[in-house]
Amino acid sequence: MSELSHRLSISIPFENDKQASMARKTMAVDPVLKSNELLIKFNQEENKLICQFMGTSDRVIRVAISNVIDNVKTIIECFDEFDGKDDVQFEEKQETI
Amino acid sequence: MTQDLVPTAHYESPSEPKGYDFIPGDGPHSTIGETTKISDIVINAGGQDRDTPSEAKDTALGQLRARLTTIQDKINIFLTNKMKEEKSSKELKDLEKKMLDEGVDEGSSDNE
Repeated sequence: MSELSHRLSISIPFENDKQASMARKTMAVDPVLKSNELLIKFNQEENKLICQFMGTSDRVIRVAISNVIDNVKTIIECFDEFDGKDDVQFEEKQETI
Repeated sequence: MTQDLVPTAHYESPSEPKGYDFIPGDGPHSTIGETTKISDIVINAGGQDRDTPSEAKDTALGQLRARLTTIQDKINIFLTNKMKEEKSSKELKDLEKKMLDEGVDEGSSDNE
């Protein structure tokens, strides 16, 4: 295995520990392709999600981090839309004849 | 008033042993990234970006999403430049090697 000499870490703060934990668990399930070229670790430090990328080149780091940030932005948007809101039960609308 | 959620990043590699820090800066920030939208070539050809992200809300999380887009742009541009530097350096080394090899060949041919 080539040396994972290129490293980049990103720290993303959330509103609370619970959101950071949910984001970490959501991200951690994605398998890393080409694991001999790239290693990604997701950790939580209080309300922060820490993503660490270790790769054999800038190219693999660039592809991976842009993809991860895109996914984290989707998670953030979900929290922004739904977290803290009252639960709503959606029911199928009955058609009137 | 909402708390500011500011993402940060740190990069290290053999070409950058002291490391390089990324911060989003003062802004303004937007969810429309320069490096994540479809290329100008496609847009000029009449293409449409159907994955355009929604605008950031005026909430802590909305602003976090916009700041994250800014830091994503900064990282993408930085790493793309690093890749170009690496390619140029490799091409220079290849040229140097080729010249040295040809020099040896030239020397050999002189002796013939």
